[in-house]
Formats: sequence, structure tokens, C-alpha cells
Amino acid sequence: MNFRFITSVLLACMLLAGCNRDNASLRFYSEIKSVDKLILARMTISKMATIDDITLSEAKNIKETADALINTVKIGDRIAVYSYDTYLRAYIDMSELTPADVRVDEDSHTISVTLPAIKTEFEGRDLPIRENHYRVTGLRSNINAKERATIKEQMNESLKEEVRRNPAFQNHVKAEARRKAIAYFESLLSGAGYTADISFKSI
Amino acid sequence: MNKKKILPVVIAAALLGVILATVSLNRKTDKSGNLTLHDSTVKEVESMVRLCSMDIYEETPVKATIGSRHLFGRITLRGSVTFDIEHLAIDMTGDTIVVKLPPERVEILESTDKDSYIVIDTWNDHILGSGKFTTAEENKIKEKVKQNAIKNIYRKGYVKRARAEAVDNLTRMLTNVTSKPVKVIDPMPEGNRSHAR
Repeated sequence: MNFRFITSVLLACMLLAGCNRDNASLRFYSEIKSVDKLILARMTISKMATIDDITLSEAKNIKETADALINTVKIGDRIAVYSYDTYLRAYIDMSELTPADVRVDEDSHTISVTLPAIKTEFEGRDLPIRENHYRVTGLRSNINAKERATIKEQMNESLKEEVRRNPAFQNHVKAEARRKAIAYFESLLSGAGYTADISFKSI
Repeated sequence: MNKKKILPVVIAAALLGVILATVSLNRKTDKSGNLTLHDSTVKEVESMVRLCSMDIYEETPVKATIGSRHLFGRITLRGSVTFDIEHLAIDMTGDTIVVKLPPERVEILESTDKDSYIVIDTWNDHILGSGKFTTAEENKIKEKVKQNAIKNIYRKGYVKRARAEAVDNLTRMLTNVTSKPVKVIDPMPEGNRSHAR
């Protein structure tokens, strides 16, 4: 009796585990978000990577030296260069603008606006990848879709790290956004017969 | 006599072994190729004034067949519905500012989140056939995924919702900044599919 019960429980657990695994693999996340962003600038950042055989002179450790030695006996070449673009955008979140941020002086016909702070975010990257160069000869294997996806992922991580480490990327796109925002709101308010005084909140 | 007969077989087997080992060495170690990541470069900085009323984040399967070859993977897309408000046509009716909501721009890109594009499997129906896809073939597959995603955004009514929200957002922004009553008119509440990118 006990044996039967234990067997049934184990069987049920196995079935449930199987079902859960299937459900997890078929689940695709989706999200729609209402936002109120004023996008003012967009930076196109290009990333390039080269896949090639390591040579003995380039080897820096034992593993690389072993790889380089193996490469010397390989028949043919395997060289490819890939690149793609990523977009970094600068925006202000207009939902953070309150009536208190706008002051109207009817005497001098001046409107002072303190706009929300300029933020940046990665908008995304190109879906396709550019194949700038491809030469696979002899007995070498072609570069397949899985390998390209892995290469793109490594390029993506490296690009994000560079942008995180070097503030020049964000400062450049933010400066462009600030210039555009001032020009836009000055033009908008001059059309309504006012002189504009535009400033920004700090983050 | 026997030795004379066996020797060519042994030599042939050894030769075959060497060939197979060479092919295997060439192919298997190729997977760990040396990747050099070059520094990122700024290609362009473009200024604009676009109101964004909706951000879309979607994971979707990638299924494709070319002849007897198949590909299955997963892609994470990031999309947005924006409106170019840089050159808004502004009319004054009495003290009220009247503007028309411009056509929407639906943009779809690949997310920069980790593992936003993974290829799970590629295979060929024929036992000895190759399951490999060229870059050009893969890019075409991805273009179809993008076009399908855009079609779905319209079909699910996201554009209609984004336009309605853009009307509210633009009204609030212009009212706040100009301190005047504002009326935003939407001439195409359902959107216009030809403005997708």
C-alpha cells in the first residue's frame, strides 16, 4: 500500500515537473506602457567585432597559446567582421512637469519654464547584423546563426559597459537634447507672443 | 602473406583516422574562435522633438523555414509610438490654441537587455543536409518578425490607444507651458499603417 502511494506521488511530481517545464519554455513576456516622454535627441552608436584565429604572437596565457598551436594545424581561414547600430535617446518625462514649474509675467511678457531633468535610455538596437567581411575557406566551419547571436550578445554587453564607463556618450546626447528643448520651447512661446526663459531641474 | 594483406587496410584506416581527426579539430575548435571587440563609435547625433506616448516590450518566438532548413529562436523587441511635434501647425481660435495630432511613427528595435536574441535550434529535414543560415537569410527572417510585430501593434489597437493618450499628453503639455486653453484634434484616431518603420 505504502509502496503504491509513494509511487503515485513520485509519478505525479514527475508529471507536474514536466508540465511546468513545458509552460515555462512557452511563456513569452509582453508589456505595454503608457508614457509621456518628449524625445529630444538620439545617438547612433556603432559596434564592430572581428572573429579570427588567434596567433602565437597574440597569445597571452596558456589557453590562448594552446589555441594558437591548434590553429597552426587547421586547414583554411575563418575570418569575419560584424557590426550593428544601437540607439541611445535623451528625453524629458513630461508627466513630471507641474503648473508650479511655469511662471508667467504678463508685464514683461515672459514665461519661465523649469523643465524636468533630461534622462537617457537605450532605445534598442538594429535587428539585422551587418556582415562587413566574411571569408571561411578549407575545412573550416561556417559561422552559423547561434554563433552570430552569441557574438551580438558579447558586442551588446561590451557597448553597454563602454557607455556606462564613459560619461561622454550620455553628456553628448544630453547636451544636444538641452539645446533642442530650449530652441523648441522658445519658438513655441514666441509664437504665442512671449519671451521664454527655459531651465532644467537637476536629477 | 596475411601481414601483406592487413598492412594496406591498417594504413587506410590510419589515414582515414587522421583525416577525420583533422576535420573534427577544424570544426569543433572553430566554435571558440577569437573575438575582438572594437571600441564603440558615435555615428550620428540627431536632434528631434517627438512625443512618445507608448513603450512596447515584447518577447516573441522566431520560427522560420527556408526549403528544408528550419530555425527556432526567441527575440525581445522594444517598440515605441511617437509623434513628430517639431513643426506642429498651430491655429488660434479666439484665445484657444488649436493643433492637429500628426501621424504616428511606430518603431521596432531589438532590446539591449541581456540575451534579447537567442537561437535555440537550427536543423535540416534531410539527414545529411546543413541547418546553417547565412547572415542575409537571418536578416530577412528578422525583418519579417519586425513587420509582424508592427502589424500586431495595429491589430491589437495599441496605436489607437497611443494616439488617444498623445492627445491628452499634448493638451496637458501645451496648456502647462503656454497657460492658454488648448484643443488637440486627431484627424486619424485609428492611425495610419504606412507610418510604421
